[in-house]
Amino acid sequence: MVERLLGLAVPAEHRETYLGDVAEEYTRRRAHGVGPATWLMRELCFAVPLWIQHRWDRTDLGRDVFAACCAFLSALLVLEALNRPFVLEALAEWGPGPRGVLALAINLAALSLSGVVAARVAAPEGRRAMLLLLTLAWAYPVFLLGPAALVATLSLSTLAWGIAVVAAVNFGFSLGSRPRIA
Amino acid sequence: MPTRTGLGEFEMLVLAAVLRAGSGAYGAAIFGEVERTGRRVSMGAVYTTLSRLEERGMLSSRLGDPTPVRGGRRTRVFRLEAEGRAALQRAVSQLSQLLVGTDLEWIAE
Repeated sequence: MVERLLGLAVPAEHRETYLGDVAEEYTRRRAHGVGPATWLMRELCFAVPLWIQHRWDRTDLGRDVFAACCAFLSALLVLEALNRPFVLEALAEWGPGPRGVLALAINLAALSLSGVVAARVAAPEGRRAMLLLLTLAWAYPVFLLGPAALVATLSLSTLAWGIAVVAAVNFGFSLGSRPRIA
Repeated sequence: MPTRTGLGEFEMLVLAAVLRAGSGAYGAAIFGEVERTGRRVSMGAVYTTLSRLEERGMLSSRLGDPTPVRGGRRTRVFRLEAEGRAALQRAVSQLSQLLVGTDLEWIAE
């Protein structure tokens, strides 16, 4: 699974040698104790934007897709807020948790995404999507669960925000940065 | 679509890394050279750039031998072609010319 995902990062003709190089670099980092897991995670994070880049020869498409995903998630949350809870219904069918836990899970996922966007996406569209997402992600559980959820939401949101920003910085997410994706 | 003749900043870096790595310029070695500059970049990005430069005739590559540490996978050794060398030389020269007379002139010297 990891290899298949990593393999997306490069054109097919380079896949075998790339995976060999990743294996070699991972082994070297593990031997020297210089964060092999973080490095591998970072490679994985780059796989999809790079795939988009070489598949369609569009350097900025990865960032656009990411912003579009945020906008899509925002739209889902808007529909939820309009009392058409098809997302939660769908999740509840296979998810074990109660409705409130699912709402908070969506909230945290949205905040994690928005944290990454906030940390790295330089485009105004990305920032706007992030702000919309952030607002909805905070408002939605309160709307659904009542004011009692506010404290829990704010606490978890702050935590999620911090984790997302630290992760974004440490993993070197650069979806909005053309030179880093190369 | 017009053909691009110039080099991007990262392409320059990768070409220079291939040059530095010499006869042992395979993926991990080139990645190591790029990282040594302090640039944090993914190996996939280096490969994407290598592939693009090869398509543009600036690099050529051949498959090397598999090793156990690579899970039995082969290396791909890259070589700087005359076109790549000329493009790198041109890009550095242009940058140097622009810096003459500025407080960053010492970089060009």
